[in-house]
Amino acid sequence: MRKAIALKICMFCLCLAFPSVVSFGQSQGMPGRIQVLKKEMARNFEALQKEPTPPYYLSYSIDEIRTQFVAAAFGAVTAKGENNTSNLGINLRAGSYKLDNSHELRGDSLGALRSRLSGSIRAPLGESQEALALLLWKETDKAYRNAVETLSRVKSEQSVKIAEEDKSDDFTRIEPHQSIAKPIQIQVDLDKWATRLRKYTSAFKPHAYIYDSSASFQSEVRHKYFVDTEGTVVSSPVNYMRLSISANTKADDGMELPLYVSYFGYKESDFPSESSILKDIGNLIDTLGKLRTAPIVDPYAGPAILAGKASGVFFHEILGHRLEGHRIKSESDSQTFKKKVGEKILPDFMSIVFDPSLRSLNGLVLSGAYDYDDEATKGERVVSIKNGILQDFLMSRTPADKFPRSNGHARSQPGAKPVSRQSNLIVESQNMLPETKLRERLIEECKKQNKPFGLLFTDISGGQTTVSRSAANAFNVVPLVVYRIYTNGQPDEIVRGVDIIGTPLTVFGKILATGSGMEVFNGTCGAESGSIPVSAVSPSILVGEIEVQKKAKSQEKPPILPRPIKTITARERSE
Amino acid sequence: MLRSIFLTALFLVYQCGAFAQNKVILNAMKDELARSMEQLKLEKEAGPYYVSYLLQDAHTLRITADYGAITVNTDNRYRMLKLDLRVGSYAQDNSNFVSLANLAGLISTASAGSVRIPIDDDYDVIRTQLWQASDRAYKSALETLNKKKASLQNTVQTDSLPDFSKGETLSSLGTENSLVLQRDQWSGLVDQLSKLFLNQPGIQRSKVDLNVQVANIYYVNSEGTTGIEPFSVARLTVAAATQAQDGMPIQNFRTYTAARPENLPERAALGRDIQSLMSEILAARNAPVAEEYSGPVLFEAQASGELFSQGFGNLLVARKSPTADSPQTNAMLGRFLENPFVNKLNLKVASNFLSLKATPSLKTYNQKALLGSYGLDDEGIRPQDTSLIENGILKNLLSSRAPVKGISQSNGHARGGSPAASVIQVTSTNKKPYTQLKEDLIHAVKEEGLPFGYVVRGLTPTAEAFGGDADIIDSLLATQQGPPEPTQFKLTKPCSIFRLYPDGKEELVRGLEFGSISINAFKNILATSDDEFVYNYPVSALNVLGSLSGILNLLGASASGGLENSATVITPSMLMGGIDLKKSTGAYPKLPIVSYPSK
Repeated sequence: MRKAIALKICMFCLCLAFPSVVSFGQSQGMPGRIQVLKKEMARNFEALQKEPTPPYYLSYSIDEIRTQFVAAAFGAVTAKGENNTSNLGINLRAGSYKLDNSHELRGDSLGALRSRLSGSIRAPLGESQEALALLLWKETDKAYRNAVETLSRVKSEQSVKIAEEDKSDDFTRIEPHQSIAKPIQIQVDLDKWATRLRKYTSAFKPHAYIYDSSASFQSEVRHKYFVDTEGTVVSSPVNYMRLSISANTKADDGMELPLYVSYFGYKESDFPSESSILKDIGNLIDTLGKLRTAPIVDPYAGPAILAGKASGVFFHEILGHRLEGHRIKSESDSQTFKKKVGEKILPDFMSIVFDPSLRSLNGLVLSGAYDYDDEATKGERVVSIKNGILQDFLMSRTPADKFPRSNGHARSQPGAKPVSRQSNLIVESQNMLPETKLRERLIEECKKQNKPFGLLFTDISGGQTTVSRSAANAFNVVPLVVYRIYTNGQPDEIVRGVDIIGTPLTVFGKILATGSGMEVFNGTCGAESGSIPVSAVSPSILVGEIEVQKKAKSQEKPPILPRPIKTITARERSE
Repeated sequence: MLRSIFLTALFLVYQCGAFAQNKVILNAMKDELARSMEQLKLEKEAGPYYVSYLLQDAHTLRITADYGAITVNTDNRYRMLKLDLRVGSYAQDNSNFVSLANLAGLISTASAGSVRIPIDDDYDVIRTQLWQASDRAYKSALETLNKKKASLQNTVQTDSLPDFSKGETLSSLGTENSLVLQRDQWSGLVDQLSKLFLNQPGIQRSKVDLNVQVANIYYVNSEGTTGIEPFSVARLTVAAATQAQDGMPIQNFRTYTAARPENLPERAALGRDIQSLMSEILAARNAPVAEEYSGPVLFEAQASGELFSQGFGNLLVARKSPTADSPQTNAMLGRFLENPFVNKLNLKVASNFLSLKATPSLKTYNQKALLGSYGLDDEGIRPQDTSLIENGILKNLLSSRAPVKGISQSNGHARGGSPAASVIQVTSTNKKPYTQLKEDLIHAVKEEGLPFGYVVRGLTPTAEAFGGDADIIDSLLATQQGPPEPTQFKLTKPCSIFRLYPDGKEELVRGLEFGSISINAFKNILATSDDEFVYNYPVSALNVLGSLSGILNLLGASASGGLENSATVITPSMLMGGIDLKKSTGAYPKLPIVSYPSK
């Protein structure tokens, strides 16, 4: 199982004033979709109660998404448009909270893949009550048949195979709640953004060594309607805006050198000024120029500083994915931390918190925020690690041993089956040193270990980690900008061509101190329930030993011919 | 008043398009092509001997309604480049070779063949994209040619065909299409049609799908050919499904094609047709379940068109099977790609009274648009009218610039990565009025001592058989099993099939599917009708089965998009002997437990 954080970062302030949430006791005044969902849920659920294996739980959800996008390269627009989708999710459970059709069938990889892919059902784009009722009728029928068939396989497996380690229930109750918020109305002016993107990407034109450049802006407005047979009704909006600008070049030895800047916000005024974005682009061009001729780092193990964003990704991959609750239940997962609750796994000055209720922190906008998760449970602040001691996991309504309740971290991309996933990961430290002090500590540590230099990772594109039992439990983080910090006072030197590697448990013990400034990585995390927006906030960290390996490199030479630039051809003159 | 304003607007856009775009696009293409031919060269290696750029400047709409409401409504404006860069020589180059040792590389190469180009008319940026794509293609072509040479050293070659045939220099500048599409008008149509299925308790599932693609295709190659090819297709599919009391799934379709959506049938006519589609489905629900059958079958109109597209359509192309670097892969490719008709030139392949010819230049027939018509193929060759079967004897195949045994030159049928049908006319000297053809069926039935014969009025369209609600994994697993033996083909399920009794009585039945049909079955055509049916169908679905690039396209995701080529067959109804019909097997889903939702 591979997970990756895609390339998206941001840094700015302010948070969105979210629409006021009103609660209703009954259906009057509820949106038409909710009324149809409730009516059909009751009708289908009741009729199926007469069957020999009746469902004990049914939920319907509809995710409506409206996306506006524009993309450009070298000053020209490459794509522009608008997209509307609506997806239906059905969760029908037969059996009981103790044992139901969601129970893991061991060794059934095809079935797991099938259930993952079959989740996405297209729903009406507009308000069409009759068509929605028809769709619910047909799809509930299908979901019910699958549930009954799967449940009988689950039961037969219970009697044939050895007992599982985890004795927890398959589903947990939540207190029914009702919350109706209106959809957000946001319509951005795409022509205006097209003009901006032309300007941003034109900045790359004069630099012949930049082979490719692109910029994209996307505004996404979502609305979720949810009803279930326990009595929960939620109508909840969320929106995202992202701007990302990337460029790449190649070193003479063929190594691809991509860099990007990206920005996240809930509204257009969250984005920095044009001059500030152009300044970032200028820095990016500058750094690319330096990277092309930078020396390649040999495999190295020694002290290093991960700057805030790099450290955020590091914790997201190495720690965060292993705190997702469904993994400690799965028989195929390596369950790194299952037996370590109450034990120290980080230095005692560090804590790890997940908080979906925060839309900003210390002026940083966070993209992993939401009111309700994809099972309509309110997102809760979870202190996973307190003073270095493991306390809690991220839980959905699928319990695990000793963790019976959901803390609102069931997440999925629309249409997929939710599992426990990360929200806003926040690294807290009680050993914060000013950045200059942290650097001094790095040099000290290098001298102690007899190393001529340490490494500083300032920018990172993402990473991936393996959590299954059938493969080595390792991680890989892909740095974009790395410097050598010399102990002899020599100026810092930019280098290229390294990946950070390692195994999770060994690295955590080696964190020595943290910096004081917090940085955020706002990105998209991909895993079994699809792509979801997340963030990771962290100060920079000093690690006593980090291992780097050579990056796999393209064997292809740089382009043979220079990038074409406008020349008046003979034919044009004659025309 | 409104109408005249609308037309004026269209006219203006069209004018701008004609004069602004092709100059920027074609100039950028010509200039980068010239530079690639002159200077794109690694030290110690030869430069390309041939380069072509094909740029699709397209506007597409896809509007789908499920269960009576629109669920997909996309409007896509894009430009996509497909390039063909060759190193070596016409005799031996980097084409027609697959290295399965590097399947990932193969897929990335295939997808690198499709590049997104800016929709702004910006000379510099269009050239930049052409430059990048050419650079990648050149390096990968050199690598492939080296591997190919190494691999061929160890094997004895049974044929010494060149890899690529020469093309003549052409200037084929068609009149550019307007790329303006009125999305709201067409989503309104789809929405209204789909609503006809609401409150119809006999129908469980409905789908209305409109696919509109208009484009101008710009083409240049290093042999000096320049082309502007207008492209437009509008395809409307209506599908509905239900279950019989025993659970057997019943489904039926209507497809309508036109060059532009304005030319589709009027809304009222479509509405009436949908009502009759529903009546047919409801009737099929209560029809008796048929038993196994072997004997004469009459393929009527649409069914005759589908029979052609699923049978002959695939056999009449001169596909070249690439060489691979392992015997196992060669065997697999052969199974997918081998066309037994390549070895049947000048042999009898159909009944004596049948002739087939390709007439790609024919744009309309009896006022019907022939969507398989075009002016320049994907390899810069003007399509030629070609006689394929004369009095039952196979004379020629539809070819691309990849020569096969017996066919050394292209007749301009390279489309979508392999040769494909254009406009095919089926003519017969044994034709009779339709009622007489039915008499012939009865006669043949009596002769064989059968109690009745079969008339097929509707055959599930290939495109529907692949898409629809099929479970993704199941259809992938089905693909893995590969096609049947190359000497046989499979037909999709009939969606409208009748028994014809000797007394002339017709009886609708259900639950039949076709057994495998031998490619020799076309010799068993007994007679044809004297009327003709114009049938436009998409060739992409066939390409998926029939060509390597099709298979790769399937793997590399439809995300790469691109235009969907059409073919046309003009055919009479056909009476065919020796057809096996099998009883549908498999467990049927139970009827829905919960009742149809009330209003």
